[in-house]
Amino acid sequence: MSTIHPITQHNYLQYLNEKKLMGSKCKDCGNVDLPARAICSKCLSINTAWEDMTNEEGTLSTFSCVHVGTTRFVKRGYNMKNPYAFGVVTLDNGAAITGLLVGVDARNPESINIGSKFKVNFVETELDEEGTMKQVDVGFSPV
Amino acid sequence: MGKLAREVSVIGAGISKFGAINDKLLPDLWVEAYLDAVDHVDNGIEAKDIDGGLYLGNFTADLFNGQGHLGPMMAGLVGLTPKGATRFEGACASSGLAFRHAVIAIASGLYDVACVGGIEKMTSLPTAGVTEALAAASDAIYEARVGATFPGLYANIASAHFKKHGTTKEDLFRVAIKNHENGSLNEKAQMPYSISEIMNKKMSKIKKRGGEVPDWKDEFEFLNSRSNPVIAYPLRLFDCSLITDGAAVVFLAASDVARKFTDTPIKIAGTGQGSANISLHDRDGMYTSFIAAKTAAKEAYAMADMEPDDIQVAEVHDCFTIAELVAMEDLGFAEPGKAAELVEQGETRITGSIPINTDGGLKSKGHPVGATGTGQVVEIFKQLRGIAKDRQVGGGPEIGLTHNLGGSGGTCVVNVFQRE
Repeated sequence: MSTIHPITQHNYLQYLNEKKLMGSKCKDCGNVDLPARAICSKCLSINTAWEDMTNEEGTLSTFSCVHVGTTRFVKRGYNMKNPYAFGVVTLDNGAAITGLLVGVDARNPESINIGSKFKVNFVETELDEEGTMKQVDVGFSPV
Repeated sequence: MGKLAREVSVIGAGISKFGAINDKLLPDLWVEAYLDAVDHVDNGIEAKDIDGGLYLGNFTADLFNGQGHLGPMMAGLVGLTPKGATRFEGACASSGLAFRHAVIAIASGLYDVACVGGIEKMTSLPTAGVTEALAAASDAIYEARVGATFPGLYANIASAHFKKHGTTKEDLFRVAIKNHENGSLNEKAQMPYSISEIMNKKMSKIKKRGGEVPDWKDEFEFLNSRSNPVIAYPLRLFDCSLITDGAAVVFLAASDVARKFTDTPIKIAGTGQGSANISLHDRDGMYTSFIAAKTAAKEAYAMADMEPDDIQVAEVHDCFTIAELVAMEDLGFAEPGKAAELVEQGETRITGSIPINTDGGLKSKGHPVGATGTGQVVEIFKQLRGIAKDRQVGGGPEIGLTHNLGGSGGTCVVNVFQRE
């Protein structure tokens, strides 16, 4: 997306599908929000602008390794013996978001440490067999 | 400010059998609970007495049963039409919301008597479908899309609690053991067995099949075994509440008319409600405590002019074992990180200083999500009236509390009750 777009969840997802993690920054109080918000979550100002957080690093705030997953994840081959991990990563700029944890050993949760460094690593899923419909989700991998 | 304009009391309460009720549809569960509640109004109650109509909690019959527009549907089955009939939705706090808003309507002076219900029939879908429907109570885009399930979200809370406070899986086991012990005394519970009973049954089954019988010495070894598989690390099967069909009904009346129905009304001394962003990541780094619960508790305690120490019996929202510990801390029964100690000391058992979930809680009694908030009120009504049979808290408790949480903490309703 090249032109200026209003801060909406719709446009946040459009950016996400282009592998851009777009939050917002309040021009009045400096607070950052992720996903982007039209109204600042701290001072409620509407004077907010997109902030590209794609290259931010952060730390793992909390996580789980899921053995009984949602239908979509079960279809992707995850099960009791093959869990996936998701958690909350707090970026160094203070914004936090839930994402899949990739490049971690979800079968060995003791190896995943709260407080360790992670960086954005998008997860791309094909929504149809031909691979024409793709969905990009927020993911993180260890630094 | 901060007070009800007139006093409101519970004059009767009833509950259906909880479980996988294959021979009853959603309306049948509702009628069963309604008739049980009518039986618990000392001097009787008829539909014509209920000028305020129906306040009904239900999370998602739309997804579970393909049925919406439940208010008038259920009202019509018990003769409450053409009076107002409204459905409330706040995920697992749906009937907590219905209850609170009926209280407010009566307190406003608009009505004298109202019926509150909570209903959910979950077992008509396979487990995967239930997981999917429940996931609609999380943020569909920002949580469910990246694999968040409800056990997964509460597992995130548990991981953070373990890290911050040193809580252990054994601390969680103790909550499950206590709640199953209580549930074994409740004939309406879905799994009315203690964990040691469940363990022994499992051992005899293995023995009968001719398999190698595990040498579990106690419940902890059983709960630590492969027979208690990890659902979402660090939470295991016995950390999770059940998938349940059930209904609960409560009748409310303005305190000045309550004595027409009973000599022992149970007054709502305080009621509070709170909310939070529904995504865990959107709570300013607060993962081990729920701001919605703290807000609701503060409002309810202030209205009742009471403190946590005044509460003699409580029903808290143990959708997962970790949630019971967090609830105890949010309600002020324990300092942050100290709830597990109270559980270990036995203080939350029926014989302890602050009995919690005497009916078995969501863990053993079951968790028909939209019925849970009203179901909690039914148990406190029984405890304060002294009719809780084998699980009756001793000493004639006069003050009780309910704590009903929606989703992963986006909605919370807390009520304080007092026998008059």
